[in-house]
Amino acid sequence: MTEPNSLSEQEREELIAYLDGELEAEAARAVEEKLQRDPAWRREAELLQTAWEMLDYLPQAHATATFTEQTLTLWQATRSRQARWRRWGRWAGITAWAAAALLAVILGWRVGQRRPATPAEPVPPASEEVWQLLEHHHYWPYYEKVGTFSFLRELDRSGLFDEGN
Amino acid sequence: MPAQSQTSIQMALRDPDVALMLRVRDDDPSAFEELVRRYQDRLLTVMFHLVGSREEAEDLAQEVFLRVYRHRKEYHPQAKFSTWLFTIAHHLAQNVYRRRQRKPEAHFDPTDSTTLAQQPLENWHASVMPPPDHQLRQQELSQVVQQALNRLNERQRLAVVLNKFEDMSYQEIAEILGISVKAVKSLLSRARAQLRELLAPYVQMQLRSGTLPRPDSPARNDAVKQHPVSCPNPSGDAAP
Repeated sequence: MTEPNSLSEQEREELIAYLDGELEAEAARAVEEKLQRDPAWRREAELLQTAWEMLDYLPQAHATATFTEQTLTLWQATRSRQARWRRWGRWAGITAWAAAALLAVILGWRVGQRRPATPAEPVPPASEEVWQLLEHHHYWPYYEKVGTFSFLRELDRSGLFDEGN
Repeated sequence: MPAQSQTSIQMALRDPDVALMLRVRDDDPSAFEELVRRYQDRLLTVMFHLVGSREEAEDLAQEVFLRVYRHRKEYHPQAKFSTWLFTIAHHLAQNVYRRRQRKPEAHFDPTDSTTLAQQPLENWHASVMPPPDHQLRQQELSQVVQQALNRLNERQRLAVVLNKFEDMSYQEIAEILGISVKAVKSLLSRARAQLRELLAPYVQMQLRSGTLPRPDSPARNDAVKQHPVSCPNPSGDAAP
């Protein structure tokens, strides 16, 4: 029943592309020449064409009114869902931005709190001692009276300022 | 004006369906309904021939339309709208094929006798060939052609259906399948040679006596598109 293939695979490709109008002018002319000259080419073209035309027997689908209606209902549902998501998305975006800003403020504040104090200018030991003395023992009035730090230290070491004196 | 929007305008001028899809993209509610009505028959036909069942074809076609809507904002016209639509359809059909491979028992196709479709060629011819005195009805022929189509592999089937029913060029089919034009040429050549072999008894019958009933609704694409060839048959008559 099946006729032997008289054309090579490549020749058949060319012939079918020609029948489909897919060849450049020069290649199309070459196929036309072969069709004129070679009965095997003509026979192949005829068989291929007839088989191709038989695809016209395939049923063509026609959408029912129900199909259209269902498709549009599904579309409406998708549309509302998308609109809802868009609204939610907008609010979620605003909330996320606000939360991020708040977090940034809190973090900034915490980092600021933890940051070590700017180191003070190095204080000469004597000045520091003076400061401590003045600060902790409230010696300022005495310092004003004695005028010098070393004398004030002498007085302190002698126990003059101890409690009970 | 950005290059992309210039392309969009050019494409919209060339293809009215691109203009329609751009309206869908811009959230014009009437445009989507128009798109569905314009494409539903074509999409259903292609899906039906790809998956072989009306019910599944309807589900898939609906899913294709919904995907078109869901991805409307990503649509940038670079080719005909139908190329984009059928690319989505192709991906969805592939999912169906993969699902069937995983669960072959879950698939029941009333139009396709799988055992018949997988027979060797000689058995196939013996089983589809009508008795000599049998007056063929169009319904029978339709079934045989459908079964012959089902014997092609998925990519061949899609290429044939798009070429035949959608009048698509090799370039457009290549874009949909994601292969080269050369590969499409070879794919279609093998598919058509296979169809010619599968339908040989009917082809011979038609060529000998022209006794096949005329089809109700010829496909959109005629057999010979641009180069009608007059091929004399052995009796010297012009080919149909």
